Amino acid sequence: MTDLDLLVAEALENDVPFRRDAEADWPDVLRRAGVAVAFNGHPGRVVGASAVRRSHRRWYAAAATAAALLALSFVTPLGGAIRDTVADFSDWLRGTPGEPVSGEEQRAFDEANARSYAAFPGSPELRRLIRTEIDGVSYDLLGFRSGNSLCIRVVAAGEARGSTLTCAPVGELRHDDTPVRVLLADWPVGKGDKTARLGFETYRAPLAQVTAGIAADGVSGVELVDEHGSHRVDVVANSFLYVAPRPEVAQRVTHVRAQLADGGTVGVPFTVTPSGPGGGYGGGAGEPGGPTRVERAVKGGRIGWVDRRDERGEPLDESAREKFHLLAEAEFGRVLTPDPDSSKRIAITIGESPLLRTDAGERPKRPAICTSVLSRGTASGGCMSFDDMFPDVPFTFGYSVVGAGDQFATFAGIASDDVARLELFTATGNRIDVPLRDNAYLAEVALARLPAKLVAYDTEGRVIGIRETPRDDGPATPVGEPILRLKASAADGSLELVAYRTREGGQCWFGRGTGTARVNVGSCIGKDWREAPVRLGLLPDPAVFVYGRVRDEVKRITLRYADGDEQRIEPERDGYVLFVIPPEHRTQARRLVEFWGLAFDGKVVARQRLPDRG
Amino acid sequence: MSSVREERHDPAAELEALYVQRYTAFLRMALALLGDRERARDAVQESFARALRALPGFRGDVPLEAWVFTILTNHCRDLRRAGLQFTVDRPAEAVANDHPGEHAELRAAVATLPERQRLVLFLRHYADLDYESIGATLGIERGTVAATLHAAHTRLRQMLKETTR
Repeated sequence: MTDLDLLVAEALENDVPFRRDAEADWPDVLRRAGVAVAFNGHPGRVVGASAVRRSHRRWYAAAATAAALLALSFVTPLGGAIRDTVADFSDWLRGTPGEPVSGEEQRAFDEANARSYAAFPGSPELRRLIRTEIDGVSYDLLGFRSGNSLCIRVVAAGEARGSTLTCAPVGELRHDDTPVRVLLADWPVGKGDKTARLGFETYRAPLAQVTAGIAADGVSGVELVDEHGSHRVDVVANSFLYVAPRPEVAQRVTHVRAQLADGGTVGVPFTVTPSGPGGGYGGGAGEPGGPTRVERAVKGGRIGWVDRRDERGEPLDESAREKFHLLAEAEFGRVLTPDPDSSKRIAITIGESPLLRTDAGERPKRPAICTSVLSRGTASGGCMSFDDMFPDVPFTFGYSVVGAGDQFATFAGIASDDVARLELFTATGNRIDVPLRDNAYLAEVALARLPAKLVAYDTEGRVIGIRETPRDDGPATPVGEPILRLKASAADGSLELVAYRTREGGQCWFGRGTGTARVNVGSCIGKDWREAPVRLGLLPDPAVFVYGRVRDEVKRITLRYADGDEQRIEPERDGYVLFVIPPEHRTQARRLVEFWGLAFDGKVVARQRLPDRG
Repeated sequence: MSSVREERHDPAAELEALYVQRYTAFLRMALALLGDRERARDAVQESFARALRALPGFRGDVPLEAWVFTILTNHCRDLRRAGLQFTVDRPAEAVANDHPGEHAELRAAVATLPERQRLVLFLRHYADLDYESIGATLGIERGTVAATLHAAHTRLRQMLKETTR
């Protein structure tokens, strides 16, 4: 080796020095390749090759299967789309779809971003994607990439004004090969002329509804289906924008299909936006996989740095307290960033909880620890007793959806020091590593992948906590005329129920009370009524009215009172119940304490004991 | 009676072993080409994922390592040509060692080499590949590798002479 060789070697070594702590992550490779990961190992831990072969032999089979499936897909009409689309959201991944906006627009965006709490990291370059004009309103679809988020912004101007911004995690593109992703569904703009009465309220449709998203190369158009038929929009700048003008009340896009350049079509999974007073998001068919059994039960855990009041993350400054009223009265607070590539932050605060109340409606005297997800002007969260943290599982659990038409749920919360790792399992077969830092976790998942299960592991890989999202029946849109009206009156109030069939094959009911029963209530049940066969409520307190609905097999309901008396009632048609409790049983001593739903043969279908509020 | 033991060929396992054993080399190569550690790490991950997906089409006429280095260098080239617009919420990691001023002129000269000369230099130094493997990676003959490396050194020597005048 010459002197120059030595000098070159030294120079190159200076440029890129050798480091032994390089962060290899084979599970991430598998996920990017579309191979499910299901072994107990920490991401980023480098393991020896022999250990890898011993532990992961089944994943070689999975990789071979996945590779074979990809190979097979090449010969089908869909194959080209799948082969290409896995990698061909490339413009979006580079942050370069469409064209740059004007300097003035970019500056305005940068200034607004800088003012925003939980701003997008870095300086995202705003791109112009599509512009259209309908009924005197212009709609601009803009987009950008920030960290691990692909974001679109819709701006409406003219006869109606408004804007919205929604993002999809880049990781979402790796969960499957769908060539189109809906990021916004039926976002309402302005006020329209069409109204409809549902239950006891009159609802007004917006002036327009916007559905938008991103598309991979090779997709020529997007077809969207609603009650008025099928509508096709071109894909421009790897994006699509559909504006439904003058929609009916509760009109919704129910199906989306991608039209490929080679003439094929591909169904696009997404979540229909809930409408009106009823229904939920529903989700993907099936159940989430993952562990079903806790291997080591852990309750009552702590977070050491919070107990010590260490200064982790960033301070909770005055601007955050002013912006988010949930944080205003915190005695101690820190703002954490579980995922540096997300603009969302998590605030942990200790103090009197603005959310907790005793049964008497007072604030508890003991302090609470609260978790708030901070996202560009909104905050949502929950609290628990600081003295009795994590009473059942070593993490808090819940998810939120921000904004009308959003397609993603944000799972966020805190975990005790017992938790080394969290994973989210979805109904669509995905296994997602959840970023966990300073005991705060955050993950964004498409609503179409729910229901989902969050699993916590300890440092030895044992399952120490499992929580699942509640099942909901999905969207429920009341249609047509009422199928039933019931009314009951008592001395000091009345209650009326009205029920409708839904477009989805289920039913919704609404109730309006007067006097001491002044209330607006309602509920929807889907076509397949699986859980809770007896769904009854009581109004007011002490109860005067029993109302609600029971499933078909419940033929009688037995009411049991505190003094031992029992009373039997029968549901109305379709299982609806509206009953007035006799006056002698409206006192504390003789109040209703329990009800049973019975089948035709007397077999108990469901039984519910009411809480003692004495 | 003779027994026949079936030899099992497991390309996915070999790819994983390559990843584990040579991760640092791949990362250094990507870092040399992209200049940013996070982007380099992402490029390595993406390249191995592409390799895993493309395994059914790998004929084995070049060493597996060379094949993956080809994927990596092509991917990094695409990223650089696209004028990558990633925004990352952390400053680009400084890669200089404790003596950032040392060999600054030589390092600057390396940066001005033609692309093929730089690639050969990097594959030789960071990936520690032999001429055969470098040739397989870049799709050139072994002799061409040697000639390219020689040309790179000659150019660097010339540039150093010019700067020391």
